[in-house]
Amino acid sequence: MAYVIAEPCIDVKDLSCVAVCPVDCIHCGPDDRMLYINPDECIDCGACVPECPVSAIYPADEMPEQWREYIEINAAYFRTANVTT
Amino acid sequence: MTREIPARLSPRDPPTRACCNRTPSREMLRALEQFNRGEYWAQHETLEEIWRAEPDPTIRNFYKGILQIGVGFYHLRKGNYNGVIKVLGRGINYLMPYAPRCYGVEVQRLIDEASAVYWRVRAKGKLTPQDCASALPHVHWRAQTD
Repeated sequence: MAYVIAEPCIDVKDLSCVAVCPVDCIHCGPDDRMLYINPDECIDCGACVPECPVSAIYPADEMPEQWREYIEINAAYFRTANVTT
Repeated sequence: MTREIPARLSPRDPPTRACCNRTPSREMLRALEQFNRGEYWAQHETLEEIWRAEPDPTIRNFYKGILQIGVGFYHLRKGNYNGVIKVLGRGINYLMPYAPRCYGVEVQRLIDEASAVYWRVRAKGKLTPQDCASALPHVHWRAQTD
């Protein structure tokens, strides 16, 4: 069960989480409005969680109800995007 | 000649061999022993601590490379082949600048053996449990003498 980035990241894209991810699983393209975690790459270490200034990152099974759609949004991003980090 | 693996790396830290004559710390050796026992989650935890604490940016990708190869094997054991392709491929590429040896680690050997696993997964789309048991390489190292 990977970590997932939710709505608070939109238009923030602070990147602190990217700097501490040991497996480089947090990505975004230049035109994206938020960051995304690739669920296939994430090793569930949670290193990114305390770095996020807007508390946007949650384990998928602890995602607040109002943002549960972001579990699929994160996964779907990697089925379609040409990610650049 | 190592076949090129298409994996994009973080540009954050410069990869150089400037620090390759250093002696591995006790913690580093503990991580390598965990790797060789197949404790891939534990080696990731140990190497992550070392990587995050390392002030010298020229060696950080060396730690990350070994860490990500181990995480690639972690994904392999779980049958997460997309994760294998992404993370194992990146780990191999992170290590390239540190070949043939760095910190006493036989880097080129690890690159070659991990690359063999990578290309087997790419070719077959998966590995059987028997493949996994026989294919996963160890990290070989020895004390620096030069």
